[in-house]
Amino acid sequence: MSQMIDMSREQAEELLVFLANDTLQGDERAAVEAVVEQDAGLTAELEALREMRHSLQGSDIGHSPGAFGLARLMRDIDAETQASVTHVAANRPSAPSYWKIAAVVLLGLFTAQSAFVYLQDGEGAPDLQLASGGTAVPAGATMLRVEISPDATFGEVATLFLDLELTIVEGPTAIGFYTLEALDSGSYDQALDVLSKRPDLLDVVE
Amino acid sequence: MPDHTSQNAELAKLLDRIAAGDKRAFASFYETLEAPVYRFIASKMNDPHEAADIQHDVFIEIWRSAGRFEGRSTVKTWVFGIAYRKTMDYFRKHKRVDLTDEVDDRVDDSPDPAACLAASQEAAHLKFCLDELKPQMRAAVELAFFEDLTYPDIAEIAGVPEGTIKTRVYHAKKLLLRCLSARMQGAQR
Repeated sequence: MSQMIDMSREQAEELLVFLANDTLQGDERAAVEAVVEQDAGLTAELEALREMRHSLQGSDIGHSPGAFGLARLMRDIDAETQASVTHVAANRPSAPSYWKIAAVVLLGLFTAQSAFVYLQDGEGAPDLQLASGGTAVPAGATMLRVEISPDATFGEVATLFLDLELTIVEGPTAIGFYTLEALDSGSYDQALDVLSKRPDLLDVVE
Repeated sequence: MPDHTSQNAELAKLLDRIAAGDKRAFASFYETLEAPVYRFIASKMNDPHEAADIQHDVFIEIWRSAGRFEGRSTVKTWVFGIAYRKTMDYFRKHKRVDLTDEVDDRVDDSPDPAACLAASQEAAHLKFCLDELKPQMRAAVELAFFEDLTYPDIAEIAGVPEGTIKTRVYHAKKLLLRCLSARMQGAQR
């Protein structure tokens, strides 16, 4: 059975924000509403607070890291996992593991310190160069570029990239391209093959 | 609220899988919560790169400590608790801000409700006035208004008694309304 709470104006005022966000329940809500109904000042404040909530929820704080943030997390998690595996298996060296760790470390340094600028040659083949103007980095056989279909969900694309152990090293560009890096040329060939067969998720793969 | 309950159950299942080292579960978990977590952090920062770094640290901690989630709060509350601690740590280390609950309680010059209402509709006024609040006050207001959380949830996130959150929100509301009223009256002059 419900019992009315005897609430002062100050107590009601302390909870006004939570009446505005509609999270107060039961007797507590009824008690605050009863005080507000009798007080024109609190009624006006409540209206202003509801408007404030509406404005805040509609405000733009820019783009979250999204897929790029997940790629960065996966890189760090992989590095952490590999480090612990390497530690445990210190007496059983495995070339692929070392390569993977080296790739992760180098990639971390690379992405932290560099920005990429695309240079198109006469044939239209993309090449990569450090923005600092340093030595050009050949496109080689590990970098590829994709445009994600507007109908693809974040989860589908993230899963696909994770399965192929691809790291997003740049993007999206102004025209929506992402640059991905495979662990090695073998992974690159496999990734290119798999990605080329997913027109449902990717509009362009090159 | 069945939607919140079922979302919490889904997130709790994902956390179980994350604790077992499942990266796909981690990707799904990230996809669900990265935007609200980023919004909570970035709204208090002027630098989106710093906000992204803190968000990164939050999700790394989730990956490492998923097995320690005991279900005593909702998953979202647990995650925002991590984000709250990381954000306040950042302010403690890098910004000269007052993180005490002391409030400059000058005489309340009764803000004009109509002016407050009008100013609340102006994003620029609202941002200016939110920027004037102490980080922990701002966090409480934003968790109430961005995430529509209850005051017990916000208390859990901030690691303080419920009464402290009521007081923080009460003072934050007063300061905000006073600031908005002054901004609106200034704009009309």
